[in-house]
Amino acid sequence: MQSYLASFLKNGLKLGQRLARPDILFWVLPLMMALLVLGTIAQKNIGLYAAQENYFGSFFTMVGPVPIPAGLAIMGVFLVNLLCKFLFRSDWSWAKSGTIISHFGVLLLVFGGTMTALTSQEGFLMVGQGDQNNIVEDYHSRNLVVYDANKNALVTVPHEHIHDGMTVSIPASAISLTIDKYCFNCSISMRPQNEQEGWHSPGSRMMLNKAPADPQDEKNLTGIEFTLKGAKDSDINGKYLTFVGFPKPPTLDIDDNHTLTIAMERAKRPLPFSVKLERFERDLHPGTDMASAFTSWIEIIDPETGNNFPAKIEMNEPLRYRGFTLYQSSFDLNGEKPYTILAIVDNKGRLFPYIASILIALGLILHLGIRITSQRLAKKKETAA
Amino acid sequence: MRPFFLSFLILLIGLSCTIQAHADDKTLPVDKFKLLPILQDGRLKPLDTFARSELVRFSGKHTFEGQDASVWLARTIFDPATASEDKIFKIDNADVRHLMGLEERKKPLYAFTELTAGLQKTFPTVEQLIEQPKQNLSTEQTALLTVHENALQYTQLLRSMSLLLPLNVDLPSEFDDHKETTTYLDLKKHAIEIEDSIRTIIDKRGNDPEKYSAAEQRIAILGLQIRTIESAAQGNNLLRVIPSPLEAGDYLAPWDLVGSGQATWDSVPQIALWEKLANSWRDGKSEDWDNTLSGLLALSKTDTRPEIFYNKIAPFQSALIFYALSFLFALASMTFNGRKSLTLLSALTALIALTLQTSGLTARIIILERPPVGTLYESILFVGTIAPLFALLMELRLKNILGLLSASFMGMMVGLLAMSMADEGDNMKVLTAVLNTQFWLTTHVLCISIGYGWCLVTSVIAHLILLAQATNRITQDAVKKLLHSQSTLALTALLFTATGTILGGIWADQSWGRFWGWDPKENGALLIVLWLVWIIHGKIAGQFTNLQVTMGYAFLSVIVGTAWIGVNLLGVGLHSYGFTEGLFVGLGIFTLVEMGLIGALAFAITKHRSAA
Amino acid sequence: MKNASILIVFILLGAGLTLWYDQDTTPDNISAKEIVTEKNMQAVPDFTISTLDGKSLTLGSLKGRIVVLNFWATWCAPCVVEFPKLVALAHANPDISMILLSSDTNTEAIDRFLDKQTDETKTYLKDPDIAIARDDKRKITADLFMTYKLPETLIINKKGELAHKIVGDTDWQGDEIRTLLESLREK
Repeated sequence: MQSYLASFLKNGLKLGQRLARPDILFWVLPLMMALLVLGTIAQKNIGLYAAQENYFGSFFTMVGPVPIPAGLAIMGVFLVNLLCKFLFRSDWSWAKSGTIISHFGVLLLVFGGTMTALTSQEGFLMVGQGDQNNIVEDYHSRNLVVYDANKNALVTVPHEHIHDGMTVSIPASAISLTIDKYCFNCSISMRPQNEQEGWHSPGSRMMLNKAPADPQDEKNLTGIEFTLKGAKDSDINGKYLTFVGFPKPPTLDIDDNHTLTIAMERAKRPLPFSVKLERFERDLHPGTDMASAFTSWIEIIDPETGNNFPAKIEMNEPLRYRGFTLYQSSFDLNGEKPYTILAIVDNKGRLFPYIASILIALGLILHLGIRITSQRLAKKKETAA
Repeated sequence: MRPFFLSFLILLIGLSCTIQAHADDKTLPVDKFKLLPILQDGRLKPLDTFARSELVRFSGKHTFEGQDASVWLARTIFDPATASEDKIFKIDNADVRHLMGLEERKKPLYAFTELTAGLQKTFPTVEQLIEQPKQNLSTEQTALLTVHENALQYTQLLRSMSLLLPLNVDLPSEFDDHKETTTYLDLKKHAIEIEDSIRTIIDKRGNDPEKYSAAEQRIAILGLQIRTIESAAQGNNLLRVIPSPLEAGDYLAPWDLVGSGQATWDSVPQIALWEKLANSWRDGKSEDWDNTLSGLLALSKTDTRPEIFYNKIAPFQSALIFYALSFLFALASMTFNGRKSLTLLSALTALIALTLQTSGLTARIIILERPPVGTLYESILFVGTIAPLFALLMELRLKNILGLLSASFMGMMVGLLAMSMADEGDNMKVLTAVLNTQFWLTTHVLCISIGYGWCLVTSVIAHLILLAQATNRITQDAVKKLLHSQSTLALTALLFTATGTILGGIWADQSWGRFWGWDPKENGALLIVLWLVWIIHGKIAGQFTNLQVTMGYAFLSVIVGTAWIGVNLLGVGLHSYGFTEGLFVGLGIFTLVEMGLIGALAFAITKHRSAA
Repeated sequence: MKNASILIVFILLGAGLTLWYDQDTTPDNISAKEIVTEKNMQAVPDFTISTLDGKSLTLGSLKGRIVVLNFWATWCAPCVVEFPKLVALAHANPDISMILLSSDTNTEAIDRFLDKQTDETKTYLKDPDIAIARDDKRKITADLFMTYKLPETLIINKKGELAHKIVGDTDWQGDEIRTLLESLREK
């Protein structure tokens, strides 16, 4: 048993040392650079978000018909290589201290990156002047949600799962929805006269068309056209449409006990506190339309801790509270009152880059210092001899 | 754009009928005039900068027939009828010249008065062109559009002071204030009475002016003149020289001040001074001119002198010349086996160039009140300063002229790049909110620019090592020494680029909450880091020979070029500074040349070795 | 193994630091109400008018009161529309002095215009704090105040400084004006 464990450890060490070899890095780096270049160029056509997902956020991606390893795969190999090198092949000497510290910094950076990728949540919060809100909407995920009269979600289908022809049944009722047309990015047009039969307003007048996805993911207007079946009142059965941001999603009185609202919306999650917007300000460079600063004067209302306090959020000057970071992201001044749009980020790994950059810089400076002084010493010896 | 163009025809017709022409070649000194502040593109700048950038826009030059741009500007705004004869419109495109019916000249420069017929003729075409997206237009169409846009801008300039210039009017006695000259503003005071009188005349005699008496005709014409001047000045807000009495920090063009209702009693002395200034220019009264300018300058709270100084010495262009000299001296010194005097001369000229650049950067910091690197152009200026500085520091250590040679060479090359990037006129820009001064952004940009600088030094040294080996002009011992310096340089470059890249992430985290977003600029910076890491580790692990390592470092120039300038060509991402098409071709050619050069040198070296 | 433990300690330290940093920070307290940008106040130049009922009035004599100075004319449509509202505003706020300075070329036009007003407005007009005058040759309107567009209204605070300028007509019963007057009263 003991010898088995010993051999296991020995083989493990061997494997570790093999995985620590620099030739792995030598081949990983060009791949990484190639991927970086491809992923950057691709942004021009498919946009930042899609390029990020395809090239850097997945294990494999296709270049034409050829599958190539993508960000996660390459980073994985890189991480294993670096970790093994750090654990099994480091030369723990004073002369190599700079290198070791730098390498450790890189490890921390990658570790923090992994943590961020796994735990961070991004979204935005929109508040009108004088209003209060705690619902964060996601930038990217959209859901099909069916609500009852009390605003309880009966069914939630993420947009990735929606496809043409699928049927969604509403629990505890005979009602079902058949998705006739799903478009991740819809364009809206008039429905021709001869196609209006069976449609309920406003679907009888407008129709959704599949449009190519916009490079900027936030701009995609996701929507569905669907047929409702199973209602006792046959007037209610028929075709409807709904899309993200539609102010009046279909709300149907199925029977005395059932009222259903069928909506497409951005995925939502609540913050543990509310944000009240006191005032929103935009400063322009004099004589131009170019903004020099955006400022939201807000009040944080935290019922859990009883902490209520005013705060200011400016471009480049976010507010951090209870692990969340609130950034000035955008605004809307077109309506009756100004709206501020705050990006809300919850990232457990956000301090790692700070520590890592200090370590990497420190290590490199140390390394350079040792290198230069040892060269000086060698020179002195040479001249002395 | 459209309504501007529609009113364009009215503008063309309404130009010279009312304002008195004033033909006098005498010009007054403009030293004080150029100091007057003007608000343009969100920045308060001296009229000198404004005049230069406007003149460059029209004619491609900083002076007009040997005259200072400010002289041209003064004539244009104070004496428009004379100025419109100035041949300042450069029309390079032969098709456009033909389309507008312009005569061919040695230099394709035309006066506004020569253009008017052609502008009217091509107006319908332009009306269609502006409806189309810009990228669909051909070169000729874009050129035609540019001519029209420039002409429109020019008419705005011509009319910017038309409310206080003397008019060619025949005043009926009841409206005569017995002033020496009558301006639009004088007339405007009587506009209500004039309108009233015209209404009475029409009630009495009908709409046909033929039936009016001579006195009645004079009043009718006066009414028409007021309306013509007014409509010609619609939306004239280019010359923002008068401080807004209501909004601190804002400046208004004279017409805008009167038209928008932003004027108060505070504007009265301002308008009076400008009227006096216009008259003293037109009458050539140098004492009045000087006193009025002093009066206006006393009212302004901004000191524009640093910028005048900057415009005058043009530090970065001048530095280019000194670097070229330094390069020649360094080469000469090499040829004569390191003659001391020549080396010193080379070092001296390089130092002068460096001093010029440093003072230029300092002036920019003072003028713009922000760190020196905010746009792509500014990053080139900065790298063009620090890369030679580093090379000179290296010279101090190595003392073998290679540092001098690299310093002057890089100073020249990056300087030329900067010149090609400096778009017409004023390149001092205010920044959008997200780029506005912030600790992390500043440290990031400075750090990464310094990293670029070290990368360039490394690349140049690598080139020199290759060149020396290929021509067999160097001992093995010397090569060894140089290789060591090269590694030190590369490590320094790595230190700054790596730290700078991470600082960029930290800035992004501070500003909008995500550390890394695979944005092109970020990827570009990362590419440099990865390249350096690759070469350094390839060397340590023994996968690369010394020659390959040197080749890799030499190729850094292309990697830096791509990451620094190339990613801006993609035109995507959060902080792309600008989009320039010609650079894309330039970058492609540069990459091919470098590949060819490095390949050829390596080939020569291996051939030597196998022969030996 | 020693190396691994160092690594783990560091990572735990980083994570701990993050949590501590995020939880422990209490943001600075800033109140939105505290920061109201102070505008650069300028003293309005003095002038004297003779009102339609033959009295002479100097702006300087109205110090300590809120003054609304309105440039108008009978031939200016928006001016005519806001005229009764301005009169009503002055009537409803006894601490306001209203000066209605007309650019008309003759007094008869103004008289005719006033004749056509509702009985209510006519009653309000008897208020001594409302002064109507004709600006002969636009000496005050154009020469002194550079006003070429009508209507324009200056709101002058108790110290005789310009508090607000309104170009064109406005909603004189609206919230904005109410808040503005409120803030002028406080000082």
